[in-house]
Amino acid sequence: MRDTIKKIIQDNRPDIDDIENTAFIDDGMLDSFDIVTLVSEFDKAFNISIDGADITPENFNTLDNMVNLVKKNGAK
Amino acid sequence: MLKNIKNVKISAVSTCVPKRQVDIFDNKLIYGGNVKKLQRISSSTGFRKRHILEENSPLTAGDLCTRAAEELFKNGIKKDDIQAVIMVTQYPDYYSPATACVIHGKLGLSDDCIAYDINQGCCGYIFGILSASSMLSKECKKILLLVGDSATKIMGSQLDALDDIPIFGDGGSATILEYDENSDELTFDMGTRGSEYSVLMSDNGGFRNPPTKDMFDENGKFNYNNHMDGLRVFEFTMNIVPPSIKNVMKIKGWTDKDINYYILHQANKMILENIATSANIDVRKILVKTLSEYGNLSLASIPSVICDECEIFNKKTNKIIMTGFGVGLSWGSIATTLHDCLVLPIILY
Repeated sequence: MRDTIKKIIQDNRPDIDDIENTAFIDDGMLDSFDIVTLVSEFDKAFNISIDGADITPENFNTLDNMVNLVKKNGAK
Repeated sequence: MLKNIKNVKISAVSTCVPKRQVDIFDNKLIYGGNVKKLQRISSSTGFRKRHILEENSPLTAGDLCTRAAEELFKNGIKKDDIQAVIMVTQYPDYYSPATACVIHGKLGLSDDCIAYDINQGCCGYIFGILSASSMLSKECKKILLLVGDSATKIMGSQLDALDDIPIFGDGGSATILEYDENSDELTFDMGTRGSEYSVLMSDNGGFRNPPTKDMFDENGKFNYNNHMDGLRVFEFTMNIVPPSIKNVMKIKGWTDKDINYYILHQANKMILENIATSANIDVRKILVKTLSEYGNLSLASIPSVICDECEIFNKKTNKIIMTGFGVGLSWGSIATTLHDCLVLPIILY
């Protein structure tokens, strides 16, 4: 799951070098279109529907947070 | 604020957009023209084409609204008995006077007809309807409500502003509201959260930050410093809009099955789908096709959907919920029955 998420981020933002250690929101690396695209691609990749209430800056700030987000929304 | 207003009929709607159409894939400034990335964005947000004013066009949102109003008059709406013109916009023709006064003059309305502006954004149509409805009575029977923005003009020097450029179109609408004792009540749920005003704003050019030389780029374009915390706006929307829709449904005593269509501000496809899930309403009843053809028309977003779907709404009867949300931060929903309303197709200027 972690690798899939990492690959999705990488495909969307090949300019981000260190995905494991980047604070995407705090460092201003992801804009709102990135987030919309990521949500859509996480939904497809894990056959889930991420709850709108979970689309918060904090849940997209780090790779770990995104892994927790998709887990919370039913990804196995 | 919850409110019911009786005896108000929305009797005619028209919308005008500039004839220039652009495609999200044409703008090489957005993500360096990266087609794959743009395809992903377009697929998840629903944005594709937009109608925008030519660069350096002298036209304003007021002109688009004027043209929309003229189209109503051409189609049988009488202007003689209009007793108020309300213009809702964020981008007026001048600091002073109100754009409504300028349009009042252009349309040749009578001296008995008053004119004033309201500064509002994406829920401006709802605010405008509230203002007009509150005034309608046996003594004031007909009001012309104009809503419009020329968002691309205020981008000025920020032509590569990633968060804004691919989504906004320019447009203006004209709506006639009339006193009618046989009409369905308008049920409103509205609010403003001023503590978060800075989440979505244009800082420069007003009296807080008046224009200075360093606010102009090398081409002389002014930097209004538009900025939006997209995620924060999304969070706000998801917290506020679904309960707002449910509130007006509850007051009306309607369930999702009773409602024919939801006409929501065309923020983006993903937001609209999430609102449907969260409010537990049928996503197929949310009209979304307008955003891929016209983009986010800000204030004119809701009436543009009505006009774009004129085959559904023109002279028909539909139970609808209209909801706007955005700058302020503000929101507003109306539940009502749109009945026997003249709805004209979107026109190009």
